[in-house]
Amino acid sequence: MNIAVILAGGTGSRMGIVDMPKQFIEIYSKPVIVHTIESFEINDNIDAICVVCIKEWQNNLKIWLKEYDIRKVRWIADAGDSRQRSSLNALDAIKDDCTDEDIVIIHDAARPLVSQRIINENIEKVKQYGACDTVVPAHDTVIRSIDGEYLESIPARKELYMGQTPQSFTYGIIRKSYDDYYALPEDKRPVMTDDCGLVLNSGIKIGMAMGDKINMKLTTMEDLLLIKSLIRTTR
Amino acid sequence: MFVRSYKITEPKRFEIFVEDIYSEDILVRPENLAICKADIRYYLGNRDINVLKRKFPMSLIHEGTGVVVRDNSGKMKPGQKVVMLPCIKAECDGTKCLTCVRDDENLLDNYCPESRFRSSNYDGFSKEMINTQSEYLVEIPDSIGEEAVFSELISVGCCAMRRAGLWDKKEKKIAVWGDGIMGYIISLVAKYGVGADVSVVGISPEKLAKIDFADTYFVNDIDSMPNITVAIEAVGGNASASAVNQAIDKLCSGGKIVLCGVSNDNAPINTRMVLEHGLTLMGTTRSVRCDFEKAIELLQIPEFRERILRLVDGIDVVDNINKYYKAFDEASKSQSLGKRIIKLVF
Repeated sequence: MNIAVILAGGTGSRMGIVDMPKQFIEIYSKPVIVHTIESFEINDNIDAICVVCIKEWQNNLKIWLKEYDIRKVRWIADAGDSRQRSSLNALDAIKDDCTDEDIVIIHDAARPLVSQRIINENIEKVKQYGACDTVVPAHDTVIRSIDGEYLESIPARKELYMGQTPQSFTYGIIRKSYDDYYALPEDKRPVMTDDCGLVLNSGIKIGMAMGDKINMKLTTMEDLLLIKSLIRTTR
Repeated sequence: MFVRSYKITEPKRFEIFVEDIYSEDILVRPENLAICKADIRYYLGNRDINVLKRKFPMSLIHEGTGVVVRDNSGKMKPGQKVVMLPCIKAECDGTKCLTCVRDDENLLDNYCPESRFRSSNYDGFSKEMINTQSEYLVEIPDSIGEEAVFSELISVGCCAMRRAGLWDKKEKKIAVWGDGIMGYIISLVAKYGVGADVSVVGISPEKLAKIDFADTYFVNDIDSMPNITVAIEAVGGNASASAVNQAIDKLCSGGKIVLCGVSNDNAPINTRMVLEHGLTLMGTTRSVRCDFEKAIELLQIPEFRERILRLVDGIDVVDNINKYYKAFDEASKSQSLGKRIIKLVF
């Protein structure tokens, strides 16, 4: 079984919007999160979806799932106080229904433009490697600075990629990585910003699926402008 | 939902589009596609630029099969493989024209001026998903593979037979002018669909050699060809007139010429002989649902299917726009009888 986990636990503080998190704002009359879920809903290889959602928005989510006739969402899990906690809540929610070999595809609700190819490539790479991250090559030169004032170094661009989502794993691998992480005393846990960091920390090799620039993340108002300007009318 | 597509915006220029589509009906993922000569004309800009400007931006390709992703009507199951029909019925009450052709069994929607045709005046199949209705889909049985992508071309051949009233006619001596893919397929339909004695007239010895199911004649040497009752012209271009005039000379009195090729200029035709022999000239183009259903029926005849499979020059996975450009560039230069199948991945 292939299960998509949609993370919608963020508060979107960088958007400036005060009445709702970014994943719930509308793009052309439909909430961003619905656009995102639909990409997984229509994928032949996705069997079920788990949405991790802020508690106060779960009723809205249920209404939208009905309104937009979304049928694959089987679990709605509570958002945690961090990305890791949200992912862990999803793993807990689905654990009774899946085996260690099942594939979990974890995706940001704020990336509504994910393509079918990216989703399918994630699944294929997990079958090959057990774990997979979606990446795009860094086309701009990346600068490293420690203090934010002075340039520290310029890493070799050909070795650099920008991470996107989905990040995908067999249930067994991601579960073990979380168990290892939370087995550490709190002050010994390394700071992680995503699930691949945790898996890498467990010493597991991670394959790469090619993302693309269109699979952008809605983080700031500029991103909203860019996403809206990408979408054209159809006939 | 957001779906991606490739659209031509000017000759030799494709762009990626992201569109928001609604799935009120059936959602289909285009899977196997083939490029037609008409697509190449758009790609190369071989049409009046003012005509092109009115059509662009537009997704190309109208020959394709797909997989049903979702059906809100409950008529089709997800995973069902289907042929996608390019002719879209007019939203018209039938009063716009002097005579409405849509109910005329010999003409149907194909000849309705209000109908739309994908990759001509409406978006084609170069899309991540298309939203459509069951009337524009024909199920593909499991016994048929990627070669189903040729269903559109086969259906055009079936349409020619239907329009010429050949399905039920007994005496059948048919000659086809044209050794390109259309001529090959029409000859196959005449042979295995109609059960006719078929002769094929062509210009390429290599292509004629591939027609092992009919008598073949080089275009400058057709004296030995027996007289015929039906001639089908699938030449088009500048050679259309000479093909029709040869056919006029070979037809028995009361015979019929079915014009399938797209000519470039006005074709000078020996009309004196047309009236002297009481010949009928009729035009046919494209196809409608019943022709697609017939095409799928024919694809289940092993001899027919095996000869369609020979047209598959290869399969290309096209998973980015650079490969899409390459597919069009190679198709525009190809001299092959067959085609390469495009597996479109967005």
